[in-house]
Amino acid sequence: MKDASPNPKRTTLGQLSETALPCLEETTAIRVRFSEVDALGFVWHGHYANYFEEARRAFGRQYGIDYATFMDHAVAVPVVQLHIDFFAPVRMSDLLTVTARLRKSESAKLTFAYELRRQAEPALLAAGSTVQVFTTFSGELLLTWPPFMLERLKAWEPLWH
Amino acid sequence: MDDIHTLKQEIKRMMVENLMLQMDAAEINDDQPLLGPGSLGLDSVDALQLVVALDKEYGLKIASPEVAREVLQSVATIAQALIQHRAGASPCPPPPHAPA
Repeated sequence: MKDASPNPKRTTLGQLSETALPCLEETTAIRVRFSEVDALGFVWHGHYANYFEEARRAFGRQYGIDYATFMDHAVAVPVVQLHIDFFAPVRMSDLLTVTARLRKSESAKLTFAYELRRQAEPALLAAGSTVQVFTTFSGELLLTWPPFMLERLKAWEPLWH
Repeated sequence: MDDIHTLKQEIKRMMVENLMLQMDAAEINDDQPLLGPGSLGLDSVDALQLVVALDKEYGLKIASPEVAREVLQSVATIAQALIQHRAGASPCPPPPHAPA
């Protein structure tokens, strides 16, 4: 979905994730597992994408856009952009809270911003963002919001903050 | 001729602003492909943003992938679609089975 030779003149997703657009949010708790840490006991960087996905799935369950909903409507929602900033290490058995915020968008895409913290601690350990687009199961990009998403957007209208 | 030249400049400026391209509108060529190898480097997310911008700024609605493939090839094809839209014509003919 992403061009193989991105134009270096483009604004980065990291910059985009800092914009203060209206959002909806959901927070979930995650316990770091033994299989997720490296030989030094720190979480391997690739697992942060899974933590973000867990928060995104919690959001989907809360707001009626879980994976089953997409499947029922014959729509796929591939991640086409991922950005992660790592601020401090996470260790084995840490109990984390991960917040996923859906940014309001006019175009047919889901842009989530994420914040990862140790539970009950204010320090931000990592932050990031993803962009998902809507496609058919054969991979054709949907240029406008699918009807079931328009229904969700209408229902969410009073909830954006 | 001047009108279409002005329209193409407007489209380039609209693209730079809406897609947050870190380049000057004058650097975009009329016939430069927007997507794919050797192109301006736009991606699927940009295409979605461009669809919204064309609707908001010109009232041109691009709902189907077939029309998008025709219209979003270059600045020149976008300009041509906008001229047809202003003249009251659809940017692409309806499918053969569509009711008259």
